[in-house]
Amino acid sequence: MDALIIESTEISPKVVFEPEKPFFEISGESRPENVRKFYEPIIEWLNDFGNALISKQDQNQYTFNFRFEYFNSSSAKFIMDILKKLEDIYTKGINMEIKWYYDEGDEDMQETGEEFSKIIDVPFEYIEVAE
Amino acid sequence: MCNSKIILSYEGKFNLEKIETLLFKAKKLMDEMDLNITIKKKIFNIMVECMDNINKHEDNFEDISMLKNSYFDFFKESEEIYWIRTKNTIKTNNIEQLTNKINYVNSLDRKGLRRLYEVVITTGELSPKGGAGLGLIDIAIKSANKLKYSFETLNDEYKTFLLEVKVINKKK
Repeated sequence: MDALIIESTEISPKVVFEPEKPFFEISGESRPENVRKFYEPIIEWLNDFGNALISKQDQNQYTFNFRFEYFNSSSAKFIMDILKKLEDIYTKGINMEIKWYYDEGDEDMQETGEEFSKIIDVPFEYIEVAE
Repeated sequence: MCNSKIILSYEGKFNLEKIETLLFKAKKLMDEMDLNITIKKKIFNIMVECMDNINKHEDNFEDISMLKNSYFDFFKESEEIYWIRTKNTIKTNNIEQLTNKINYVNSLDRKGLRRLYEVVITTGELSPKGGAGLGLIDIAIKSANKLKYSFETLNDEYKTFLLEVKVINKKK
């Protein structure tokens, strides 16, 4: 399966999903002009990746790092869709954890992660990053 | 607010290019001010949502003579209090729904707003204009103050909508 690499811009995050590595990361600012066009290929990629892992009953541990500096409310809906997709893969027996990074003192980003973790049944770890 | 100081203001048409220019300027200006990263992020987030609201929801006009310029400003009331204000024209028949939504958001405390955010994000579909219905909730959470708003009648069909969002820069 091909890697999914998207370079960041002023308005969209960097995405590094390399299937042969156990760490996946999405980072930066997210307020793309067309949020659906940006996020749907990511969700489709995860769907295919998840199906591949499930079909071979993969026993590896995978970590998904979310290192957002900021995302707008339209992006939030799609970030939730990504998390739901990860939950779907996790509940089908794939070992996974989510690491939610936020800047020191950024209670909004921390609380948003906590809200997401209440909805999504995947182990969440919160990591505060010093300024 | 007689001693308030305008930091950035713009009146005219809003499109993505203009919004980017304004956000870039706002970021630069905030970097030059004595603001911590948390408050800068809150203000930036609110600006993005407010301008996004104008861009997505400003109604189309059949009668071009009624088209008023939209407006944005960012100003400082005191060393601790900052405001983000936007004004745009909307159709009168959308007023009731918008008023109900803002009043509901204003009736909730932070916990209630977080709960509403959770409900909307799990059940809401993206609107044809790309909105998730989370914008005002997100603004209220980031502001941690009640949203101020008012309408001004242009004619039977149109009004202007003024939204004023307060952010307090609490010193540590």
